[in-house]
Amino acid sequence: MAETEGVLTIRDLCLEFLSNARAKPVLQGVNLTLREKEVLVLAGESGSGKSITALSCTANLPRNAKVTAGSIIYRGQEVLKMREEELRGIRGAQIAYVFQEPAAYLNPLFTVGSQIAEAIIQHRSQPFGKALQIAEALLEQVRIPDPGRVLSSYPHQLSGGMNQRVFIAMSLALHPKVLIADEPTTSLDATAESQILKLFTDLMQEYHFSLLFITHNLSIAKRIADRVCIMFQGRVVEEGSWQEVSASPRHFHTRELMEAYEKIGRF
Amino acid sequence: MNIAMMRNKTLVAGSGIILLFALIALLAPLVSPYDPAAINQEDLLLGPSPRHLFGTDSLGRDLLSRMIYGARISLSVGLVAVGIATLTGILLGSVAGFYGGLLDALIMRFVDVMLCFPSFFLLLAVVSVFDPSIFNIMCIIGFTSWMGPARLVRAEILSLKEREFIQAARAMGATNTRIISRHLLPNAAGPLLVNATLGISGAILLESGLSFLGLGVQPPVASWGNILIESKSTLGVAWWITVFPGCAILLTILGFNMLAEGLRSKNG
Repeated sequence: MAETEGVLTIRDLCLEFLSNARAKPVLQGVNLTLREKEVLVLAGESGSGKSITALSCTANLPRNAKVTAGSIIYRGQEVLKMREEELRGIRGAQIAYVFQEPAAYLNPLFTVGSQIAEAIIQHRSQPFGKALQIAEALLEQVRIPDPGRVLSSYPHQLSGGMNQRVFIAMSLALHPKVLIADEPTTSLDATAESQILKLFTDLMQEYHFSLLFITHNLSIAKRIADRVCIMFQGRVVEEGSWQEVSASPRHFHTRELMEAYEKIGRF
Repeated sequence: MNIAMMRNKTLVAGSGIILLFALIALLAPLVSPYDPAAINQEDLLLGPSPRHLFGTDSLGRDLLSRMIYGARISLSVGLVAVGIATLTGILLGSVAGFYGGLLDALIMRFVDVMLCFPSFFLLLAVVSVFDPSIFNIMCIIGFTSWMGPARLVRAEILSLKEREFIQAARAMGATNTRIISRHLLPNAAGPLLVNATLGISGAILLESGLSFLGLGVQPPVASWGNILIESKSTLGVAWWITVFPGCAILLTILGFNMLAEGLRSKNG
């Protein structure tokens, strides 16, 4: 069992969606290992099961999703067998997420500062004022200019790139060991995308987390990945470093993805 | 633009009326010209005059003073009853909406059962069992009108809980209670507030109706409803005892409805 050295190991994960009493298989034996302090890019077409794999890591699944087989080991513990309270202890504090549409994933009613503070308070009992101070420091860490002003802004007052920085600050608030970023730059423009990618790699130096980066954009894989996994129809069909995968893709879907990106000149 | 400005005027006018009435009710001892319970044998059924602005009733009590003190009762019954109804509605509605499944089915069928009874008759049945103290009337009105808020909260939560920021809160490890109280309910507050504002006028009307039937607030405590019932026997000779409390009820309800309408448009 050499692969158990990873922080997060997914073994033969099978999952299906139940709709109208019919089961639709979504994941059909996913194997994935996220190692300490590495950037693992999980790429694949829409509907290949990337996002649901990500959500499985903290057993945070939609109600109609059912895991039928497999296991997810986080630092030697089986996630799928954890009780609700244990899972809550892991979510956010150990394994945190960054999502695609930052504005939609922030509560529109509260200021950015109080939302970050909230995330801190719910795991560590801190007075609100103290949590707010930590929040301001975090905003500075994610390179937000004038963090004091942004702290008291509402999500709709900020740009997409800013909101994503805020969300990253919130995710890092509790120093998680694993950060799962589900297409965090897809809704952003090219400049913001580039800045956010740089931010991720910078923050990894400071916060020492492992990054599972989900994307359909292979140029991102080329730029930041230590290793790349390609998913296709609920399975991981290709795994290796960017050089290996791009030089000799074994699976036809990998070749399809590569060709698509070569055609539109994104490399 | 014009409609928006008009709605804004509705909001201002509505809250103006209510603030005025609330202020009068709060400052009752200061603003009422006479003791509302003082009987004066010489001043029976006097019409409106500078000495008694709204006239006197069949016991010679000053009508304006009785109405000012009655405002305290009528408004507080409205507020507390709606408070009870809204809190009960929030509790049951959010549990039903958030957890779904069997719990949801049970709660919502219970709501349906409660809604089957015409609410006023349900109210009459309950009032006849309990002693009609003001507190009991507040509770009874509250516990027979929580179904609307419950349905509203449930519907809001059903749609809100699919939103991305709820997913995010869960991914950050928030407990269900925290998700409901910090993320779902604040986002449902707008429609709920409108509903509660409309509910207050409904509750005031219910209390007046109950008092009018003699099952509400009991004399000698004055409420607008029981001043009205006392006016019944003297309607032919003393129109003011009917007209002024009637107008007060009308204006208050108008005020709350205008406020609700204004708030609704603010909520877009």
